[in-house]
Amino acid sequence: MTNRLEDSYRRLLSAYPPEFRAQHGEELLGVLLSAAPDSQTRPGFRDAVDLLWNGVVLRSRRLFGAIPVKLLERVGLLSLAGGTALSALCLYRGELGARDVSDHGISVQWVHVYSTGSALYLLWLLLVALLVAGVVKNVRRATLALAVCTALLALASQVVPAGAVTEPPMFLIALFAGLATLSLGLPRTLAPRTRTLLGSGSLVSSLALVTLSANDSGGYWFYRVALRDVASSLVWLGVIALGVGGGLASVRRPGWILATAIASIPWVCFALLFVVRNGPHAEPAMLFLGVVTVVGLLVGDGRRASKVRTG
Amino acid sequence: MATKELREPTFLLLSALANGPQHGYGLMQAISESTRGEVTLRPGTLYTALDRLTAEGLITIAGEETVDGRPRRYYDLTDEGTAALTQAVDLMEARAKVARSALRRRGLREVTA
Repeated sequence: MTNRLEDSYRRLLSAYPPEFRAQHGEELLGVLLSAAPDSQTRPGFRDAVDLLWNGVVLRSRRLFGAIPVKLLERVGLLSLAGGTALSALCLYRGELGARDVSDHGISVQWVHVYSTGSALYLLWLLLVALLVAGVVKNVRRATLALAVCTALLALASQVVPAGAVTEPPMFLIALFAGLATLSLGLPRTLAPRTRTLLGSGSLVSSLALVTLSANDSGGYWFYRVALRDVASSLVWLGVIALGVGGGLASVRRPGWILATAIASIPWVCFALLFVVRNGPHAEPAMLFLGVVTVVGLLVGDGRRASKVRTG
Repeated sequence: MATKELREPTFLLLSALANGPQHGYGLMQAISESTRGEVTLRPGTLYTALDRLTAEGLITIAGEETVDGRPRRYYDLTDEGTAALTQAVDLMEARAKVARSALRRRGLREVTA
């Protein structure tokens, strides 16, 4: 009986990293067996969940442990801001900007929606608004909530299409959510000033993106066609905004440039998506400005970093 | 050094070790007793926390013996761990003092109203 229980515990312990098992495995097994009643033949449900959860947490910690905590936190914040801007844009184009497209979409009583994505975009904006307002004070919980809601809604929108259209922004939002979850495991709270900066930055970038697209009729049925024209500019505008923001922040707090580079990944995916679908469609001036901005900032940051090292 | 707030499992573990070196199973029992059964650290959580605290230098392995063919390690507070626990206790006491005086003032207002 004991052997059976021991075998079951050993299987559960395989959730832990090998180094941890080598260090604590037998000891932990001894405690598990000591705590178990004589009649017990299988691990209890709570013990099983506890072992699996902690094993995964420890593996994740080892995986992300090499990345500086500050960097993860910054990528998380930038991704929250990026997701907010994209949510505002997509919501505008997909729903609020929908004109002359009333024969598409789905009606639920008085509400006419064009995409299941709206629930996600609204939720994202609502949660960030709560975060900025200070109602949600724990970034870790907020990002966890965002990630879980994003995953569930993205899944629901794929499983239950309900005649609505799910456009690529869904996966982009999921990507932002993934990056935002990098800040998970960091039991930190945002200072009021950071909350204000995050909120105002998101708002300004959202307004800028909405203004960019104000002249086009929206709706997801025309989404791709309408956004194609601004896609390349939009991407590089996003990169420039992130780069300038990261550069300004890194003046007093080094490291924001790298965080900016990582947080730019979804924007690059955005660009690639449109290149794949529509062929090269880059706006030369924006492309040039974006590249110059990023290279300039990286060179400046590198020089400053080397001065810090030699100083 | 800035005062650092400890998470509950960390605080309970360090508090239990303030009584002296203890092994894993003993720590589980000590925490359950000190919280009157309200908090029960499961073995997985306990050893994940012990691993982290050892890496952070707050606790150390004070000894090892073999019981029924398995290793049994005793853990103890380091100087750093003692300092962290002391700071956490001071912080909690200061907060409790503020809350207590606020409650007293509130009670006084309600009596005089």
